[in-house]
Amino acid sequence: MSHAPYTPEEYKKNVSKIWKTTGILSFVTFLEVGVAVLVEMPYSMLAAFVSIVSIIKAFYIMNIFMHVGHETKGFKFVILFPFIFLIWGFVAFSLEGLSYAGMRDALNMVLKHWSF
Amino acid sequence: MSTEHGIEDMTGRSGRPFNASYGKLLMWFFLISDTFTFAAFLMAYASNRFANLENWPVPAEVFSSIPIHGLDHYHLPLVFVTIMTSLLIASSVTMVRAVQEGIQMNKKGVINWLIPTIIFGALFLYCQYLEWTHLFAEGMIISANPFSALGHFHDTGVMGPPAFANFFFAITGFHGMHVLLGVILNIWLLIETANGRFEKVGHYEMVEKIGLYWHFVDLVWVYVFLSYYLL
Repeated sequence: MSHAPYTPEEYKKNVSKIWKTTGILSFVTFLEVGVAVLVEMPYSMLAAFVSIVSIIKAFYIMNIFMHVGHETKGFKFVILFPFIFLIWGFVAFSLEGLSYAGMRDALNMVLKHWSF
Repeated sequence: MSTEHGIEDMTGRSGRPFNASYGKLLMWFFLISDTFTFAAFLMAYASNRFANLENWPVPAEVFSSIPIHGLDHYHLPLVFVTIMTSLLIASSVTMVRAVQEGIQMNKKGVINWLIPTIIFGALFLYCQYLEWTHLFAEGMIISANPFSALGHFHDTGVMGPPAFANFFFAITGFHGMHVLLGVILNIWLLIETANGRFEKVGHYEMVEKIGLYWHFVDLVWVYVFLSYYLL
């Protein structure tokens, strides 16, 4: 169902909230790219930095643009709960890749010294 | 209780689950299932990327210039994709303004904000076209990837892991299809708004629903951008 129209003050407040969010999202994007290109740092630190910054971006997009903040508690839970599995999935699959690489390298080492 | 936009279940009860309308709920269900599709892509990408950590290409070297004739010999790593990201964010902002004008029942406002939304979305698609053709010209196709950790094949004589190219075209292609669908939906929305259809219905909820989809496309890009261009 659609909302009732905003009162003039509400309208003004909501519009300025959008422009503020735009500013934050643009700033964060430029910060991310600037750090990724210009700053020398270990890969794990870069990964941690951009992951945290991207979660901030996702929060603003979902909360302000997609209005999740204004939905009921149950709806918020239904939408956000599956993301726990996704985060676990990313960690699990990344570790799986690392483990595969380790086993492959170990096997190559064995094969190199194998005498037929 | 009004059953307008509500759901009637098998037992004959009617109401509004989560106090949201039928259309918005279904849009959210679709978006959550779509999230899982994209997440599956990105998880598969992550496992491949970490299995080839030493010879995976450095993104700042693959996407090192602006693929526009005349600008392509400047070394500007990741600048082009930052422009693409800004375009998507800008179109998301204009979309949310259109939604707000729809809540105000301001037909002219909806039209005025939908037009830049469509333009930014179409520009994003054009940028993706430029990037893809640039990569094809560099020799990167779905089954072969000339970029390794050392650099381009022309300089090193070493090919990189094909999974990089494979996942790049699959993920950005799938995302691009979503943008294309979004642009088509927005054009339809613009035509119907101009025809006065939503004014007759009495609300602009369709703008909100398509707006949700459009923000979702932006949200997914945040993560595609993160995993493909930054890490």
